Amino acid sequence: MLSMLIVGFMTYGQGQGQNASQQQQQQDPESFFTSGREISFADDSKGEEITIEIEKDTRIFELKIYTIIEKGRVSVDIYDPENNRQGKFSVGTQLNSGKNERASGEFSKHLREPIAGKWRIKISPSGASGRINIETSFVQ
Amino acid sequence: MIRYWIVTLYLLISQAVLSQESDIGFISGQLEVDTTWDRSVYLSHIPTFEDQYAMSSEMIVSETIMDSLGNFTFDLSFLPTSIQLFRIHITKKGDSRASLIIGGNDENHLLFLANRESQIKLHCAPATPPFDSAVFFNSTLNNSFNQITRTANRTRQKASNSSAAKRRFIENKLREDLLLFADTVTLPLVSLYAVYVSGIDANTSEYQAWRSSFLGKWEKENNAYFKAFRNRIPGNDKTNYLLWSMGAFVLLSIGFLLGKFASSRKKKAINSLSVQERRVFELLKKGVSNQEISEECNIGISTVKSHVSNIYSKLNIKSRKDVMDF
Repeated sequence: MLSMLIVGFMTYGQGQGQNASQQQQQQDPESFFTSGREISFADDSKGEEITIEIEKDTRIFELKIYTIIEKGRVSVDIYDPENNRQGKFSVGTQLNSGKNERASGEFSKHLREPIAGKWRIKISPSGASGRINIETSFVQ
Repeated sequence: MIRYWIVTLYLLISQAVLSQESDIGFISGQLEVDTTWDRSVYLSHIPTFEDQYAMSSEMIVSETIMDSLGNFTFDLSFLPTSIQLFRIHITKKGDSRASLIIGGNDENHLLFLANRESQIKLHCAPATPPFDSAVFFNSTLNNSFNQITRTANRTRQKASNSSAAKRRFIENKLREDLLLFADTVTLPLVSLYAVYVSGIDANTSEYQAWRSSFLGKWEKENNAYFKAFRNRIPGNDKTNYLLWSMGAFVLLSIGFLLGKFASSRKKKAINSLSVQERRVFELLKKGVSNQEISEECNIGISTVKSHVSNIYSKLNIKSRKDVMDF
């Protein structure tokens, strides 16, 4: 039931010591990093929180969240390290429609000199089946 | 003569029909979009401002197709008489009809206010995002409403391209401007929309006084939009009030019963003491020493000690302090 599954996971940052499959382009003198995560869920109602660590000298931060739902509802809230909500959206399908339908939501944000620290993406599904893609880009 | 009456009757009926038609609400517009967009246009009802970034096909109340010039019209005659919030959106080719894009060059929606009598004309010149240059004709209400959206979008775009320090100033200024606008505008839903767009968090105490004053000003507004806003504010939710009151009542009742139970246990324990022990107990409660108890009761020190020990045991206590607190 609570089967939130991270099916794709790529992280940024050489210093993070995480996945080697990161997509990274080095463009001297600036460093440009991109990362992507895909989270799938099936009839899921368990909340999940994704954190994105932004380092102090990050010059540009771009965040794209793409959600597609085939059943249920999912809400996404984005908080900066000072706990200010920087965005929110929710998508849902009709209750008991019995039809095949999809609903999608896309959120994008571009920030120069983002607040350093942990940005949180709070995902709250309610009987949801679908997936969320989170793409982040950084210029340092 | 008969011909004259027939013509007159025809003209009267035509005029009545035309006048009835002109009372029917609609929103028509022109949208110039590139070929990556589908030609369908959707109209959704947004039940509260909390839902302005919610998307579900349940919210879609009407659908139409743009002609080759991008013209479209929605009939609004089925709407209620009260002003409500609506959203027009378009989708990228291949996307689901219930798709919402927030931010970026592909932002695909526009909010507006309407009721069944609204006759709104909208024009969107070619722009990125598609509704960025939207202008309403015949609608003071929506011009004010859209002014909020445009001001906020443009200012936030400027803020996002500014340094962190400058961004704070820009965002604070925008918030203050929106709250001033909310305070002075005479249209209740436009005023409330400005508050939502300002992003003042209902859960922080920072704007508590301002929110109270705002709600006082619009206390007669009892629609779903104002109700949802009131419910966001701690202490304004009647359900919460009821729950808190019930919780307090339950806790008080439990406290009262526990107190009564403890008092009854103490009484029972004191009754278990002998007459002499009870006298010693009363003297101990006054903080009297063993020597003084011995003199007062005319008994030996060792007997006093024995009574004290029995009292401790029967009352399940350990010290003179416990006796005084008993």
